[in-house]
Amino acid sequence: MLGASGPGEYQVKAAFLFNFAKFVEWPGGAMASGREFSICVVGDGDVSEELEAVVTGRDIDGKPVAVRTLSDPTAGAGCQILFAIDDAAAAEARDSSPPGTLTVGQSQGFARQGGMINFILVDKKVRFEVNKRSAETAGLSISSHLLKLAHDVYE
Amino acid sequence: MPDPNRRRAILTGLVALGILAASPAGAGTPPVSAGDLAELSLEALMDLEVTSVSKKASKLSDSPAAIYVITNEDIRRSGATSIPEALRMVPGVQVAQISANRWAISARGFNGEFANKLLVLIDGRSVYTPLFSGVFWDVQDVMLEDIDRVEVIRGPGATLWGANAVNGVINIITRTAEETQGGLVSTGFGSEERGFGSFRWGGEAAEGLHYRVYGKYFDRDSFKDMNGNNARDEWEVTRGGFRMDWDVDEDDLLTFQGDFYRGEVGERHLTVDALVPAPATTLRNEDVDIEGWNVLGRWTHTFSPTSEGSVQFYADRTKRDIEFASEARDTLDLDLQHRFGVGDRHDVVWGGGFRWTKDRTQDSLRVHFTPEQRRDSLLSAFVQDEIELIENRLSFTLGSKFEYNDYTGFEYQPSGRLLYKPHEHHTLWSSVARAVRTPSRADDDVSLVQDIAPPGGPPLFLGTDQIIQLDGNTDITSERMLAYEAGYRYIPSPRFSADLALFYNDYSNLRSVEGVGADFVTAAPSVIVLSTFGNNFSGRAYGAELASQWEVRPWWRISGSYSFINLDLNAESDSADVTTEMGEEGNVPTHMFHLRSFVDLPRNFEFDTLLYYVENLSQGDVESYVRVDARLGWRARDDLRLSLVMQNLQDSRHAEFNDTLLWPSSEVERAVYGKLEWTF
Repeated sequence: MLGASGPGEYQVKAAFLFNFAKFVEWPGGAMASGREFSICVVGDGDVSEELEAVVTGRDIDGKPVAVRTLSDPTAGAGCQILFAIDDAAAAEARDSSPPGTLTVGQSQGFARQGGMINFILVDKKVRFEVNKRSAETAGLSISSHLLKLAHDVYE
Repeated sequence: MPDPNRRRAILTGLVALGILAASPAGAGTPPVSAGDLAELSLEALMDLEVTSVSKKASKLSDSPAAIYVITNEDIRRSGATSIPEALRMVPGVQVAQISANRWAISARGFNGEFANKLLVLIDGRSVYTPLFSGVFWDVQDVMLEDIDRVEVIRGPGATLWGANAVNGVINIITRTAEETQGGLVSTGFGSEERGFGSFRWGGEAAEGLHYRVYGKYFDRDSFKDMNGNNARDEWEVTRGGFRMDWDVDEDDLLTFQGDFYRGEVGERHLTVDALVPAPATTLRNEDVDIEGWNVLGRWTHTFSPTSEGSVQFYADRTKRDIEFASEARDTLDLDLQHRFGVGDRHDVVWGGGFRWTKDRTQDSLRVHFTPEQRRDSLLSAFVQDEIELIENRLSFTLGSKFEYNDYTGFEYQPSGRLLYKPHEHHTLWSSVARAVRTPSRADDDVSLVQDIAPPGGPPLFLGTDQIIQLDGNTDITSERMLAYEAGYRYIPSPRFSADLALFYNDYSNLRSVEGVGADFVTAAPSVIVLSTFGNNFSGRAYGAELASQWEVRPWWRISGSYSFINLDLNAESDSADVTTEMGEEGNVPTHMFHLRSFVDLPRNFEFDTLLYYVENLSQGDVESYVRVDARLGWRARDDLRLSLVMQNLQDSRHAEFNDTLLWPSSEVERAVYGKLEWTF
C-alpha cells in the first residue's frame, strides 16, 4: 500500500512480453496456428494473474492475447511465447520447447546458455538480454530495435 | 538473490514469504494502472521501477513449518493499533489482554504474564527479555504503517533462532527505507484511544541511499477492574526512530536503523511495606517509567547468485522503573550468516553469533535479585542444509543450533524437515525438532514475596502471619521439548488456500515450584513459607490448527481459522507442586476460532468485520468470549484515508486472562475510534 514505489514486477514484465511481440517475427506456421496469441507460463509461482491484468483485452496481429499456465514446457505447442519463471522451467524451456516458440526466462545465464530472451533486474528496473542465434535457429527474427535496447546480445 | 531488499528474509530460510507482502491486492495505486502498462513503449517500461518479488522468497507453500504471515494490508484493515492486537489474527496464537497495557501471548499453550516459550524479533533484534524469559509487550512497537509483514511460526524455530523459540517465533519486519518514501501523517482518537498520532518522512539522500525518520505518540485510557472500578492502567508512549538503506553497489547493501522510546505505564501491584515486626502490604497504583533505545547495523554482501552473507550488530537498552523491581539492561549482539548453494541440490545456511547482556536491578522488600547486577554472554552457531531429493517434489532440511550460555552451558537444538509436493497445488510436510527454554535471570536469582497470608489460613494454618516467598534456584536446568509436526497445504489458485498443521509436543524438565520448608523470622511473630524452582514436570501437548483464505469475489475476501489444543502435564513423583499443572493446563483455551471479512465497497469504501471466539479458561474462571469488531474505511482522495473502528461490540467489558503473579487483571472494554491518514 503505502510506499509501494511502482507497479508489480510481473505487470511490467507482461508489458515487456506484449512489446516483444511487436518486434519479433514468428515463422509462418507458428503464427497461423490457433485463434489466440498465447503467452504460456511454466514454473513455480502464481504470476499469471498479474500478467493477465496487463494483457487481457489486447490484440497482436488481430489475435486476442491469452495467458496460459503450463505444467511442462514440452506441452507448449501453440504457444507463441513461453515464459519460464523459475530455474528448473528455464532449463527445460531451453532444451525442449517446441520450434517456433519465443522462449523468455528470468534466470541467471538463461540467454547466454541458449534461451532467447532473459529478464534481469538492474536497480529495480527490468532489463533484458537476447540470444540472437537461438532465436534465428528456431526460425524467429528479432528486430534491430529490440537488439539495440537489450542489455546484452549473444550472437 | 534478485532482490536485495528481502535478503534478510531469504537468509532465514524457513521464512521465505515476500510474495504475500507484495501481492497485487496490496499494490495500491501505482502511477500507471496495470491495464495501461501495455501501452507504454519499451523505452518507457525500462524506466519504471518495479516492486519486485524475490523468486526464492515467493514460496509460502514450500515452508516445512506451520507458518502464517500478517501483511501490512491485514494490519490496516484489522483496525489494530498495537502489535499484540494485530497478533490476534494468527491461527493458533492465544492473545489474552491482561490489562490496558499487558498481554499474555503464546502459541500452543504455556501462556501467562511471563509466557516464556515464544521468541519475538523486530527487524532481526530479539526483544525477548532474559529477565523472566518473555516479552514486555508494552514497549514493543513500531510505526504500524511501515510494517512490511509479521511472520509467525508456530512450533519450534530453535534450529535457526536458538533457545527459547520453543513454541513459536514472531518476526516483525518493517519496510525498507526505499519502500517508505514520502510523507505520512496519521492521527485519531476515540474512547480508549485518547489520542494518537504518527509521522514519517522518507527521502533519498544520495543515489541509492534512502532514509526515513518517524515519530509516534499515543495515550490510552485505563480499563476497569472486575468490580467495575478504574484499574488505573492507562499508558502513554512517545517513540521515534530512523532507518537508512544504502545500495552501495549491486552486491552490497547497508542498513542502519534505530529507535528510542519513553513512556509511562499505569500499574497496580502489591507493595510490601514491612516484613518485621509484622508484615504489612498495600495495593498501590504506580506510574511506571519505561524507556529504551536501540541501534542496528547490517551489511549484506552477495558473493554470487547462489551465495550471500550478512553481518549484523545491534545495541539495545531498556529501563523500567518499577517501585518494587527496577531493571536496566544493556545488550550487545553480533550475528553472522552465510548462505550458499552446493551443486544443484544443496542450499546451505550457516552462521554464528555472540550476545552480551548486563542488567542492574534494584531491591525492594518485595523482590530482589542476587546478585543485584549480572553479566551474561551467549555464544551460538548453526548450520542447516536444504537438500532437494527430487527436483521440485521432495526436499529434506536438516540442521542444528549449538549454543553455550552462562546458565546451563552447552545446548543443541537440531531439526529435520521433509517437504513433499506431489502436485503444484498440494504440499505435505513433516518435521521433528528439539528445542529448549534456557533459565531466565529470575529462575536463577530472584527472591519474591508472593503474598502475605493471614494467621489461621493456608498454606500452613499457623497462628502467625505467613510470608509466602519464592526463591530462584541456580541448579535449575533448561526445559526441553521434542516436537513432531505435520502439515498439509492446498492452494488450488491464488484465490483460495487452506492450511492444516498438526503437532505433538513432548516436554520434559518443565519448571515446577517446589516447597522448601518454613523459616521462622527471628524477632517477629511470623513465618516464611519458602519455595523454589525445580524441573519436575513433564508433559504432552497435541493439537491442530486450520487456516483458510478465500477471495469470494474480487471485492470480497474472507479469512478464517480454527485451532484445538490439549495440554497435559504430569508432576514427577517426588514433586510437591500442585499448582503448576492446573495453571498451565487452565490457561490455554481448548478451542479458538476466528473469521474475518474484507469487503471493498463502491466509492472507495471498505467494510471489514471480525468474529473471534476463545474458549473459557479454567484457571481464574475466565469465561469464553466472542469478540466482534467492525471497521469502515473510506479513501476520500488518493492521499487521504479515513476510518472508523469499533472493537468489542459484543459487550461493555470482559475478562480475557486471570492468572497473574504480580499484577491484577482488568477487563477489556468496548472501544471506538476514528483515524485520519494523509500521505504526501
